[in-house]
Amino acid sequence: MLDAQNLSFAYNAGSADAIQALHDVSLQVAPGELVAIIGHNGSGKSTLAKLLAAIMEPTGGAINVDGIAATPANVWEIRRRVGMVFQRPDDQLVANTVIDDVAFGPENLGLPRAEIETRVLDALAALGLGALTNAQISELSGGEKQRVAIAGVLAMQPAYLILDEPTTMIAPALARDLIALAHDLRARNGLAVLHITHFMHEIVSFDRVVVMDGGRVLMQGTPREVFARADELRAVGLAPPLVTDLGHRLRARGVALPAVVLTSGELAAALAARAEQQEVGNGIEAPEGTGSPAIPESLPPNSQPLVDVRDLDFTYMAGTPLAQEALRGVSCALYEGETLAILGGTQAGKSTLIEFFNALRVPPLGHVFFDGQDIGAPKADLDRVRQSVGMVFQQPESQLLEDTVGKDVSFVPRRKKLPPAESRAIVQRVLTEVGLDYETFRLRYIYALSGGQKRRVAIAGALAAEPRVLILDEPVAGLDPRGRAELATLITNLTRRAGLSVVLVGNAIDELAELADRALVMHAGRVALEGPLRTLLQRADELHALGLELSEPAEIALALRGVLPGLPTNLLSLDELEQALVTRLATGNRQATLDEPQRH
Amino acid sequence: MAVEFSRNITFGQYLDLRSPIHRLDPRTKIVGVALLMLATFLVRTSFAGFAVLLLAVALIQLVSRIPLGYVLRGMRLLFSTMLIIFVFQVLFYPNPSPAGTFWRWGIISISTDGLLQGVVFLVRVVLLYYWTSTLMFVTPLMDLADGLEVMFDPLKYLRVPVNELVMVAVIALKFVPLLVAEIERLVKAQAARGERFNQGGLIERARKVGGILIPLFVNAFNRAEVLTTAMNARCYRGGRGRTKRRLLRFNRADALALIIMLLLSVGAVVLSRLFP
Repeated sequence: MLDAQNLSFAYNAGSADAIQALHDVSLQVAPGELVAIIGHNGSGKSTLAKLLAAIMEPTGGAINVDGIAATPANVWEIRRRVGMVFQRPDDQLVANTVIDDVAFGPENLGLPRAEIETRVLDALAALGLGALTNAQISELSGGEKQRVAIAGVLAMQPAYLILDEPTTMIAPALARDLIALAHDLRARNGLAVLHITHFMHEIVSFDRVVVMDGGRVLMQGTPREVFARADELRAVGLAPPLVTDLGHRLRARGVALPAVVLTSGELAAALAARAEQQEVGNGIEAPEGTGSPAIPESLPPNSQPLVDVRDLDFTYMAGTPLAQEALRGVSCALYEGETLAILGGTQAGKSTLIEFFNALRVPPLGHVFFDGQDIGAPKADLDRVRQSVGMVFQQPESQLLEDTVGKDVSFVPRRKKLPPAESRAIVQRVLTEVGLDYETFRLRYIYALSGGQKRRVAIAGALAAEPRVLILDEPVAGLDPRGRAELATLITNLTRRAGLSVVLVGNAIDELAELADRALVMHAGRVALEGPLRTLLQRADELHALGLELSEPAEIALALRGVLPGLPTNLLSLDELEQALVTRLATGNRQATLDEPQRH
Repeated sequence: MAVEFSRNITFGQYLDLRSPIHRLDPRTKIVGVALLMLATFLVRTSFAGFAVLLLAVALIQLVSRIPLGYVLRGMRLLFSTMLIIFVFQVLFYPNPSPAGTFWRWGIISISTDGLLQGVVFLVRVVLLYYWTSTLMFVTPLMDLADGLEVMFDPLKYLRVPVNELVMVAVIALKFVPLLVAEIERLVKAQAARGERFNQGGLIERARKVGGILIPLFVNAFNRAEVLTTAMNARCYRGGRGRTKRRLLRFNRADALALIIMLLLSVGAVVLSRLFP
């Protein structure tokens, strides 16, 4: 039993600027239990994790792990028993080959050589890394690196494994694998897992959910109990999974469903049971989607494209033993004022492609054109292109170049040597546009801003160049739900601005991709599919095969097709899904009534 | 002007080419490189001496399978800095013999002696860089660390924290590629906002570099902090009570390699003294 009693913790304890991060938190985790800890940034969940793993000492309260009190003398034993994996694998891997990194922990424990060898190989096998035993860590994908980090902890044979927001920065498919892994480790190694996350849908299969807010435990219970208290969750900016919301709405419309629906599987089962009762949905042959094999080319506006990419190839580290092909014959276009989504899994080539959009990479002659001008031409005006195409990279908060907000946002106006009054007017306008008050934020230090605010500053900085195109590379990745929602609203407004083309790069069909007029799906350096999102969504299976997540409503609809054949998957919002379901259930009923006379 | 520094900064990179040199015991490689470095220092200005060292380079290139282009690419940056030093060395060479002086103006002169010394200095630095970078091309970091730790083990009796020092070096080297990637990201962020990093005068360039230093250090410190926490969580407490998974083995190939390296380095020094 991992037993924490009345824990409190303050950063800078004892000094005037002490920040109380935890207040009187008590938590018990049984061996082999799967516990999820959810809450916003600043809710105290990471602090709690570090206390439980004896990385920091609580300022109040006591921790006891399987009968061992967490005193300074026992700190190493506690750390062995309670392993911890951090958010970014790059920051926590010590060695440069897989096997050496996994051996690091057992070596520190002073185990005999043979024992280290067995443990390392066992841990690698448990995580399916056997084939990569001697691989270089720098050559692994993000998901593989994360597995190495977990294997490294597993080799120390802990009883409790803490995963500190491991899913924040990775693609949804990888996140699902990780959750499956947590179940697997429990089943095979009897490990208890504490998973810290922002995302509710990940934790529906957990034994217990602990909700934290403001350094306190707000509530805890089974996922069913916690998600039943939807209003309390919303009050602290969290929301139950979409399918739970859907269940709620359907119940309100009189569909017989359990009080809390946790998964689309449960919803499907409930609807199937209902159908059987009413003899609905049996034997009804509804048309299968639209099933048209060819996607109609979305009609581009009758004009010349602003950015035009023709048959572009690119290889990283060309001419070295580390060469890696990134783009193979990519052709695409971006038109004035449109919003384009560039979607794809990891290594699809998205980030490389957009670097050609604003001439960060200069292509050979005849492959990339901006406003009719060949960027590859020797005398191309690259400055003009870069000023016209604003770029906000992934995690832009680590790329802000100045120390205060005002200075950073005015970077481009100052570079253009605009008169101070004009520069000031621009900064004022763009800060307001991203929702930051000019007077309040102008002199603020960037390092003291929150993650979401830093991203706004980065966007304001790009807008200050008064671009014609704005490229946002995974703009909401790594933010908590509140931050995501706020930023999504801001981006929605930007896409509506006349004359501004917006490019949204992402790995899933999420709330942002839905803003796009047109989407490109990339896979292995090629454009695999292209068209309006709604049309693409009809080809759900193909999108899955290309490593892309569907929008959540579409995923649910796809899962419900088993009991409700012909349910459309080209759905973008909960409202649409609800509507489609209600329509489908109603026609099912009518069909059943019509069928009745024929049956007897 | 693609922003791709990692293509040009090769120092600290390991190339998994599985050549016979890659398979040697790390201690052999460290001692071999130490011998060659020593020879590079001790060798006198003599064609024969440097010819032997170049023979060593050729041999290593042949056996290790490292592409020559990759090696040269990594030296570009070194070359441009070295050229400036070379010019100064030649111009300010003290008391050249008047016979071999082509041009003179106050204390500045161009002479055969100056040119010769400049070239020799350039070759020495390039060779030193070649030995160390090649050691890292052919030796995984952890092997290097283990080798160093075993070799310097006796220093523990003098209370030198060998394991800790080696770990610091290993982590510093491991972070080189990550740091390069970080610089790449920051320069891109600058370039995306219209800054041309390969233009402008010296002061202008210095200003641009200054612009990325602050975010670079802030990010590096954050990284270091996470790494420290992660190492702590994995029970790292210095060399105390630590054991090793890997066993270093000295094989016949190691003996052969050492003998060859020894012959080459001693040969270079001796020849340079015999045929100045």
